[in-house]
Amino acid sequence: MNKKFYDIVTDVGECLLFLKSVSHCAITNKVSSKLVNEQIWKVTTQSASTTALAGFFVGAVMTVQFTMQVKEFGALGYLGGLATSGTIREIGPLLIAFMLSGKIGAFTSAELGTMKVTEQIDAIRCLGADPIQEIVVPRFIGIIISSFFLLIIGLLMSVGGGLLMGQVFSGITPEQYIRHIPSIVTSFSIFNGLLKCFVFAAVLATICTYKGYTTTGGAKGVGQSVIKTAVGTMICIVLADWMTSYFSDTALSLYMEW
Amino acid sequence: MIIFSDVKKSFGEKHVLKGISFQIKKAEIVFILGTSGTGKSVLLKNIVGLLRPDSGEIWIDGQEKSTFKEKDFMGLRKRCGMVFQHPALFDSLTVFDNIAFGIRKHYPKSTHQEISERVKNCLELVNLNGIESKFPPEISYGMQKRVSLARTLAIQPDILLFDEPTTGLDPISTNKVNHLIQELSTKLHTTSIVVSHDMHCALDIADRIIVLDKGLVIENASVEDIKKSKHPLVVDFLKEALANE
Amino acid sequence: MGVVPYLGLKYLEFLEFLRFFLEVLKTMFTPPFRKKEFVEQLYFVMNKSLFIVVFCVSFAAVVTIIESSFHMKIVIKNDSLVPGFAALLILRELGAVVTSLLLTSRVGAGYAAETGSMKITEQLEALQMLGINKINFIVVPRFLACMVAGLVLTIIANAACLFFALIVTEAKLGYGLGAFLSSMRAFVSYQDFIFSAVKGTVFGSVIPLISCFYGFKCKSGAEGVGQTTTKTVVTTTIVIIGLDFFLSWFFSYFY
Repeated sequence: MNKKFYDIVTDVGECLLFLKSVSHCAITNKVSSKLVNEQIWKVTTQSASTTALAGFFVGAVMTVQFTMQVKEFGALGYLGGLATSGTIREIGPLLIAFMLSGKIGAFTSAELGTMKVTEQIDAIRCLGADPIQEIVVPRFIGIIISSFFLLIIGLLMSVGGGLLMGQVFSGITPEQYIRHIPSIVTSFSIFNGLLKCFVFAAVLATICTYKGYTTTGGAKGVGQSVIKTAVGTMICIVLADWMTSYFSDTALSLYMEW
Repeated sequence: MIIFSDVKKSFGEKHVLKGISFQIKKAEIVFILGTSGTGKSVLLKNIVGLLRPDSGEIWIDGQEKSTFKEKDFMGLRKRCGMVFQHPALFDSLTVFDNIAFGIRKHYPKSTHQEISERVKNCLELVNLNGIESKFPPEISYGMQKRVSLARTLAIQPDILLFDEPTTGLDPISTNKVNHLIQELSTKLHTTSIVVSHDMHCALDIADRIIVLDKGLVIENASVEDIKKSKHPLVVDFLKEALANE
Repeated sequence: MGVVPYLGLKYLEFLEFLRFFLEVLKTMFTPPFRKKEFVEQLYFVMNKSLFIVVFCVSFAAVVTIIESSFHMKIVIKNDSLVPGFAALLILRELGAVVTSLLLTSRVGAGYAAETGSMKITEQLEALQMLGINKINFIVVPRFLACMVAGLVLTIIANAACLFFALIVTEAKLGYGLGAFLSSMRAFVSYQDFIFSAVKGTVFGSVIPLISCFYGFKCKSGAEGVGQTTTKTVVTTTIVIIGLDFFLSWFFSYFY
């Protein structure tokens, strides 16, 4: 137990040090925009379809679940607004993060892990380049930027899913569904959603590049890294979710008082 | 001139190098032999600073470098080429870009013309041509290994480090690589350090052979003296090599 | 690749998966019954994920309370119904889905990497040479273990989540145990408990099926294992979210 705790603390510390060197490199060195654009394109296109699919289902589930509650208060008109607000503030960013963690997080750590165990990373160092600058930073920035694109895709699809289920399940026309969205979704909610999206993407990018970059031990090691990435990102995203919720809640109440 | 003095390195509980000392002169071809897992690759990576020793000193041409920072190694790595055990080619780049990668890093001012000429020359050195636009997964393992060698030669190093250069190659390619090492040494006065477990090659082209066992140097002598060695491990190695002849 | 050939490939893969699933069901009821492996797997799954599930779910509870109080205040200007509403959300969606998503990354990814490396090191062929059915030997114990673990972990997760929701409401909104329970009673009915358990079981049993299915098709090399694991996690997540929707819709007719 003692040793396990010690291992976890070491891991977290090393991960933060890794984040430090990555952000230091991203700020001080010139990062090739070609590489970053390549990554953004790759991440976005790779995950667009899965995010869209998941977004659609989540919108549908939210509508089904909210319908049963809201009906009792006779507030069926608010359904669209509630479901959309919930998606923007909470479910959307969380969903994107989970999808990205499965798709891009696992993929990136497998990719970097493979490069590590086949000595490609050592080769980069030997040829006089900095592997963090060449391969880690572009991926890091790419993941964060493309998460915003994916958030938009997921949101649109979830509104689509909500519209459809609203029509089929709760008998609300699309027009009624959309009408109350602006009255419930505030600018603060949108900011909250964007903040969460950014935080989750940064957490994910840090963990997957760190785990991939520190892989050891052949094909089995790559598998291990991928698993550790998947689990680590899930836990850290849930934690980050709590922290950002708490932070924005406090910020909101301060704002109200002011 | 490369000097190791009492270099130690361990990973956690595992002591891989337990105090290694030797010297390597300019333009010498030195083979480092040993069974699997005796720290040969670790030793090699210590020279170019991919790994750092826990204690001890490594001198290269009068510079003690165990205290170097990552930045300080850049100059050294320009002069010091390493051929990895795996081909370690970058999967996302073509063969041409793989070879040009180091040139662009170390000689940023070279024109496209110069680069493509250099790439072509290097590929010819390892007996390959017409594969510049292919991606590494599309060519065979043996070819990948030779491309990897070409990539290292492209930066014109004066110290070459080989991590099992001929493992997994067919006998003909093996011969070619061995002759290439010899040629580089005589023509360009390149120092070569070859990690291998192939005693046969070592007897062919080495100037000197260092035998490692359990993290210690157990034999360090010229080819002639190695043949007379009484150490049981060396005798086993010799038996194996002579049986193949 | 065009859309049509892609969908065609997916469809073929789905058919292959169905065949695999039927094979699992068939070998499940044919001897030998591997009780020892089943118990080992059950221990492995529970031991690996219990702590993490409880940990994550308890943080999720906090977020649920904060979020639902935010929305309640907007719509009905009153947060006295928050506990009941949050409890409902936890029982209907959160408990089962979060648990199974965690199981996916913790256990599903592990199974995919494990069976994948068994494939590329030719251990599966070795089993076949010994006359052992690989599905009976590898998949069935994992399938049953994850099914049971999904059920048990969902129940535990629901309990933990509700407990933390209670703590948070008391600390943040100032409603005590009595208010929490009475508000919960207004919303939650006994079906919710049953349906949540059903969801947990279904999601739990999907995980080993998909991960072993992809593991058996793993390509060789370091990249192969990584790709298989990635594919497994993504597919399982999508399937769980999709199934969640269909189950929610289906269950909504039973209240």
